[in-house]
Order: sequence, then structure tokens, then C-alpha cells
Amino acid sequence: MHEPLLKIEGLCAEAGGVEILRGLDLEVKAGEVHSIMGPNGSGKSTLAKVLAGREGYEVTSGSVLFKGQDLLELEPDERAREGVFLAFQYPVEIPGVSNMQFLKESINAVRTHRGQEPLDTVGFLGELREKLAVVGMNEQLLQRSVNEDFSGGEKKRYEIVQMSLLEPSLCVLDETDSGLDIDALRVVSEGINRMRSPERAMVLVTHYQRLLNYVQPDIVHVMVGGRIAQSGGKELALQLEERGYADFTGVADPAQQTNRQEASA
Amino acid sequence: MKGATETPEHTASTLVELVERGGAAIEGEAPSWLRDARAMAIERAAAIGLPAKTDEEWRYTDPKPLLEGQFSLPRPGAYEGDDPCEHMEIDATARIVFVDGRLAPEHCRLSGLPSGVEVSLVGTGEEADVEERLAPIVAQGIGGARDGLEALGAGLISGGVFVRVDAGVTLEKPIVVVFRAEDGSPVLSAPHVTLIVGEGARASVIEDHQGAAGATGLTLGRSEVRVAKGAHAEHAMLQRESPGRHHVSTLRLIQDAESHFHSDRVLLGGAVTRNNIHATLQGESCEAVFNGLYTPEERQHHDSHIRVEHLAPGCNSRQYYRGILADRSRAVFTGRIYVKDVAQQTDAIQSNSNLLLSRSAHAVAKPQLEIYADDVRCTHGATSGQLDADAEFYLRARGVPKRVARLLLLQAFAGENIDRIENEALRTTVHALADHRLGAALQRNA
Repeated sequence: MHEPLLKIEGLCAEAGGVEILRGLDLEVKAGEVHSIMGPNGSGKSTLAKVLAGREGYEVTSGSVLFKGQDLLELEPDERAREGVFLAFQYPVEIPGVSNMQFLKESINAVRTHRGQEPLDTVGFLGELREKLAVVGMNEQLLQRSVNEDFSGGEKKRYEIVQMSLLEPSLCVLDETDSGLDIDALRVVSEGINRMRSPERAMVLVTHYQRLLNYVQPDIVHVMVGGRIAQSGGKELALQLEERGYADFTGVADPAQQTNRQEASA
Repeated sequence: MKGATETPEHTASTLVELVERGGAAIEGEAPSWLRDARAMAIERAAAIGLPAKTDEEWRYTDPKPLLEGQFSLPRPGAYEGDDPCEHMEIDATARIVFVDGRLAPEHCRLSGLPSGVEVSLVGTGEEADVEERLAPIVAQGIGGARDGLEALGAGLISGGVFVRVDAGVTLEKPIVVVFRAEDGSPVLSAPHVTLIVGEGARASVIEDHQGAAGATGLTLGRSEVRVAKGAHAEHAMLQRESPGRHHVSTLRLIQDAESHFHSDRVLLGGAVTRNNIHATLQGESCEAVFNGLYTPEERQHHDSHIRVEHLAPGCNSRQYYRGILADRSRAVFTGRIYVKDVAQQTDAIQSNSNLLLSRSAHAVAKPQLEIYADDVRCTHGATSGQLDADAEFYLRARGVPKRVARLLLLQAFAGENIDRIENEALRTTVHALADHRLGAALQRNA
């Protein structure tokens, strides 16, 4: 009976004059974890960026409703304050802006929007310490610049810290597992799992199945050529891991040639 | 408009006319050495010529408004009104205040100087026997001037300060000199500041050039700094003149062996601003830092022209200049590193970066290396660009409003050089001024 938290219909978008999303439909309800998988160039990351409002991606048709309102009408910062969170595939280094400034501006912008009191420094540190501990980071990073000189793993863990601090209702994680070793992957997954709740939905954009060993999705989608080619349960991810994307793209790895004939629509 | 009714007693003229009339045209009751210096400056300007836009050194800054505007020299006598100045919360050894080129004795604090420290007023008719120490420096400045405008700045001297710190003496707190332009009529003031730091001594001077909103005219400033062997000197200039007033100032620095020097120059105000630095590292193993920030907006023009000469081995010099340009403003940075053949093991860095907030703003960077030694490390880098769109998006994707995100990025960019300012009170003041100014610029340049 619930209205979906996110409802995407017939979404087409292009970047630099090249059409990347070609009529994508997706519905995500609160409490669900969706995984979007697909080969390189299928448009997974473009979808994540379009949802967050990155400049340079032009929506040519279709609609995106978030909590019943037109998400595409909103500026990127308005979307974030409304509860959309994008965990970046490549978090940006910002020399000269301290993590302290950044996180305080961020959380208080979101809190003010929700009608909550802004946090003072003591309240802020209290909130933050707990979130940092989950991913094995500490508050020494506050004096450093945003993402500057962070290792690849630290950057991804820091995305999870920000996500848990802002308590969004829709988390879009863009290849959060890429570049992580197995220990970091476990830590990041633990952070994601702690965020699962009946009020919150997650969309995990990933190329590989391995994240899904730690974060169990409710629904798995295969994205090909800018639209969802197939949706299923978590067994679909295992099938993909085994057989690759050839069933959907019509181009197989030599090792997976036997599956070629079963290509689906 | 206060200035409209208070016509100065001196008749207005342009610098071109002043130079054409010659040195004899200078009148007034100044002491004879000062009258001589003024005459000498005018003669020198006539001999080498006032700058023209066709000069290579003035290619990007049209000197016309400086040369052809009608200006009048400050009226004689002291300033006796209320203190109109904006003061920093600064713990100073001494404070000297000039208003419209005239000393404001009521608002100066000169008492209780530590022993071994001399602070003398210049060009006010009240000076004691500063003449024999200052006259040779002024003559050297006039003689070494590279164009007529610099010569006038070196020698006209409407007022100023002579500071000398004896060998081995440490002056903990800075000497602050405020030059305030209040008058709406176009006053030409030529503030002159000298800082002589003896062997192993330590001292700092802060110049604060400021103006009421409606002030016009021209500042032709000169700062002479001499740093003896093993001494530490700091010189800072905050240029927050009114947008209707032109500002030309030259820092002339000569360093002896093993000395340290730090310059902070912050350009905020002024219509046409020319910031000259001419540094000579003549002794071995000196260190010099030239830190600068400029934030022109509307139709302001900020031109910095730096020449650092390495004449002896083993010296380090650093030029760090950054600019944020809004609206239709212009900025020029010309930095030259000159390394003489004997100056081996020179380590010189020059860096200039500009952020453009508007398509109509325009920045020119001209790094120049002139190197005659073979064992040196000299680097220069210049960049110009817009705010980093990826960084802005990242901040906004975390809920930070666009204007705040952009301000954070601007503060980070300017902050790198503001944080380099040596004096804490000045640093705090510049942070506040820059935040306010950049916040307003962002609203106009959305």
C-alpha cells in the first residue's frame, strides 16, 4: 500500500550529447535494499549522478519522484537536505576546507531543514565520535582537509561516516566497494548494514557481486544499455557472478560462450 | 560631501604638470632637507620620465588616471578632528596616525618605547634630527627609481615614520602606522615609512592604508626596509582604501647576510592599485618571503610588480601571491627572480594563482626568471581558473547550500595566504574583511 520512496519512470538522460539512460524505470520502497548491477558503460553511475543532481547530465524525458515530489526540480543541496545521499565513487579532495567545517556545515544544514536545532561543537563531536568508531576512524581527521591525503579505503569509510551522520532516507552508493581490500570491505559493509531500517531505502550500484556477500539486497537489477534489463532476488547476483553479463549484452567472455544463446530481452 | 566645501589651500594639479613645473615649484614650510628631497624627486621624474602605457612594465596597467588626475598636496598643519580610523585589535609598541596626509598627534601613541628603539615622525615639521639618517636613504630611493612615478613616491614625502632598532634589540610588538584618507577632494599623500633593523635585532611594522567611503585622490607610498646581518624584519601592508582613490606603493628592501624578512601585502581597496616590491638580497644565506592577497571587485584594478634580486650565494626567496577577482575587475601579477652569476645555491620559488568569479574579470600573470648562476633551484607557477565544480558539487551533495559551499571554497583559497600573515591580529582582521567581501562578491557573481 505504501507509495514508493523513489519512483523513476521512463528516465532518459544524456551527457555531452550522448544518450546514456534510455527509458529507465525503477521503484524503491522504504526499508528495501536494491542492488543495481551491470557492465561498464551501462549507465549505473550516470543514474546515481542524475539522482544527486550533478551538473552536466541532462534529463531529456521521464520523471523521478522522491517522497512524491519531483526530485529533478530540486538543486543538489536541496535534494541532500530532503534526504537523498550519494556516496561517491571518487570522493573529492578539498584542500583548505577542514573536515570539521565541512561536517558541521553539512549536518546543521540538514538539521535546520528538518526543523531540528543546529548542533554546537560539543553536541556535534558527540554524534560524530560514535559514527567514526563504527568504521574505525578517529576525530584527528577533523583538523585535516576534506578527503585530502586520505587513502582509497579511508575515503570510502568517510563516505559511510557522512551517510550515518546525515541519516538520509535514500542512500545511493556508487561503487562503494571499488578499490577496497577485504578488511575495508567488511568494515564498510558493517557501516551500511547498521544503516538499514524500515524508514530508509538503499540503492547499491556495483559492478561486482562481492559487496552483496556482506550486504544482502532484497532486489537485484541488471542494467544494460541505459535501462533495467532484468530484476530478481539475490540469486540473480550469484547468477551474474557465475555467467557474466553476456546474457544481457550479447557479447560474452570466451569462457562464458555457452551462455550466449540464452540472451534475454 | 565634506570635501566639496573644504578646498585645500594648495592648488590642484596633475603629476604631469607637477613634473613639468620642476622642483622649484614646491612650496611650504617643510625643513630644507625635505624640500631638497622633493625637488630632487621631481627632477629625477622629469629626467627618466613618467610611465606610459607603451612601457613594458606598464603594459597591463594604464597609468593615465594616476598621471592626469587633478590632485592637491595635503594642507599644512596637523589634523585636529576626532579619530576617524578603523583600528585593529592589536597590541602595538607604538601607533602613528595620519589623516589626509597630515599627522593626527592626538591619536598617536609614541610613549614608552623600549631602549634601543627610535620612532621618529617625518615630514610633519616636528621631527628632531632624523635628517642625517633618512636623507641618504631617500636620495638612494630617488636615484634607484625605475620610473618617474616611483621617484615621486620615494621623495615627495607628505609624512611618515622613521623606525630604527639597534643591534641585538628585540621588539616584540609591531609598530602600527595608519594612513587614513577622509577628504572627498582629491588629496595626493606620499606616506614614507622606513624600518632599519640592526644586526641580530628583530622588529615589525604594519601599515594600514584606509579611507572613508567617499575619499578620492592618490596615495604615493614608499616603504624602505634595511635588514642587517642576522636580523629579523617583518613588514605588512593592508591596503583598504576607498574605491575612489588610487594607490601606488613601493616596498624597497635590502637584506644583509643571514637575515630574515617577511612581507605581507593585502590589497582590498583602491581604484587603480600598483603594488611594487623591489628586493635585494645582497648578503649570503638570507631568507625572504613575499606573501600577498588581492581581491579586486567591480572595476578595481590590482597590479603587483615584484622584483627579487639574488646577489649573493645561498639565499632563499618565496613569492606567494593569490587573487580572487569579481565583477569586471582586473589583476596583474609580474614577478621577476633575478639571480646574479655569483649567487649559487639560490633557492627561489614564485607562485601566483587567480580565481575568477565572473566571466568579465580578467587576470594577467607574468612570471619572469633571469638567471646567471648555474647551481640554483628556481621555480615559478601561475594558474587562473574558476571554482572547482567537483568540490562545489561534493559540498552541495552533503546539503551545504550553494552560496555557503562557494564561500567555503573561496575562504580555503584565500586562507592559504591569509594564514601565512605573521601578525595574529592582522591575520584575524584580514580573515574578517575577506569573508565579508567575498560573501558579498558571491551574491553579485552568482
